[in-house]
Amino acid sequence: MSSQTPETAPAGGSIDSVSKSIPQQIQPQDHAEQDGEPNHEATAQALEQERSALEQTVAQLRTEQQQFLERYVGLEEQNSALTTLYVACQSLHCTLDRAEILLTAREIIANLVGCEEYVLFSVAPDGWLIRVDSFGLDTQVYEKLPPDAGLIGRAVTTGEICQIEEGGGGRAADLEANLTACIPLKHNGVVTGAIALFRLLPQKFELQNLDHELFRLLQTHLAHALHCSELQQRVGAKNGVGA
Amino acid sequence: MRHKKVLLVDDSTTALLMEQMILRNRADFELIVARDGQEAVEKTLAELPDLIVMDVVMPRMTGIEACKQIRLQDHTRHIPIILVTTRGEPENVEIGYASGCNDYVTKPINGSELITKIVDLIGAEEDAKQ
Repeated sequence: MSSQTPETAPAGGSIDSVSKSIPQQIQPQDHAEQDGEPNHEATAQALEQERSALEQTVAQLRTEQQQFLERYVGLEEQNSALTTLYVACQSLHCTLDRAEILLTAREIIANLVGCEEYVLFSVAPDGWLIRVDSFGLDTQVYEKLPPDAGLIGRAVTTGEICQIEEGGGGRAADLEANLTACIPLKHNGVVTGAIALFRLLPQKFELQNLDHELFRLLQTHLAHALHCSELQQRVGAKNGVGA
Repeated sequence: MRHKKVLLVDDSTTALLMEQMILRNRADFELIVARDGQEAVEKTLAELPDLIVMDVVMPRMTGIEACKQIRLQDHTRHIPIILVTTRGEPENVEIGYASGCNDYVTKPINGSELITKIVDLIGAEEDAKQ
């Protein structure tokens, strides 16, 4: 008598090993039937053992499936993050035109970070912050900021990206009321400017890990892109082209 | 099997590149692009895409207006449209649906969400044809 009926013979390596052990489990029944006395208790016990083994295998497969699913979701997130960073990097370095670079910075902030108020400053030789570009804010208010003032000034002084906690102190009065983060731009280790991000889009409740990656990318790549555009302008002016 | 033709409409180079990367990475689509609503209407008539992913705020013609124009034409009224909105408040979403869009996504675009919606809408369109 075969123990592997179509119902009890599952596919897959792990379950095969369970199935192979079944003939031994039902040996008592075979002996009993040879004696002419069917041993229903032994059969029931063997089937119960088989059921238990199959349940264990199913549970194991479910766990593996969950692990694969989690790994897949993780890879998808990683893929999505890499795509975003690639797009940001590619967009910043595909031109030497300053106006296009500034537009790209805007697009990265609006479309990839999800922020609706932003100012880009450059650091003047006297340390003051001069507004280079902005959107969603009163340009007059942010035209020129003193060095060392508030969280933006601190970020520029320390060269560290500053993310503002809700209700956190140190803000420069009304100027930084809705400040979310400040990213100092660094070229060759020197702070050459800063991006101040204010209100996020309504559907974006908080900054994510990917946003911090984008900030780190902007910190150096936007600074380099702007520096290259300045060099290009100088070369153009020297050669009497454009500028 | 024929590749599904998807028209991507956005005036932002960065947003367009992002959408192209998402769709190129994960599925077998033929991608065509337009840079504003007017060009989107023209390309829709010429190319008859299987689906349109369109930004709302654009020069010359907005995504909302383009959506209405596409719905007015017999040849194009059936084409599923996903609007990409910067602001996800209910009033903005309602304006989008009133213009005739089938679904919407908000910025920053979530790749998985966009793919799921595209696949759902293209599948539903195929079912409707059969």
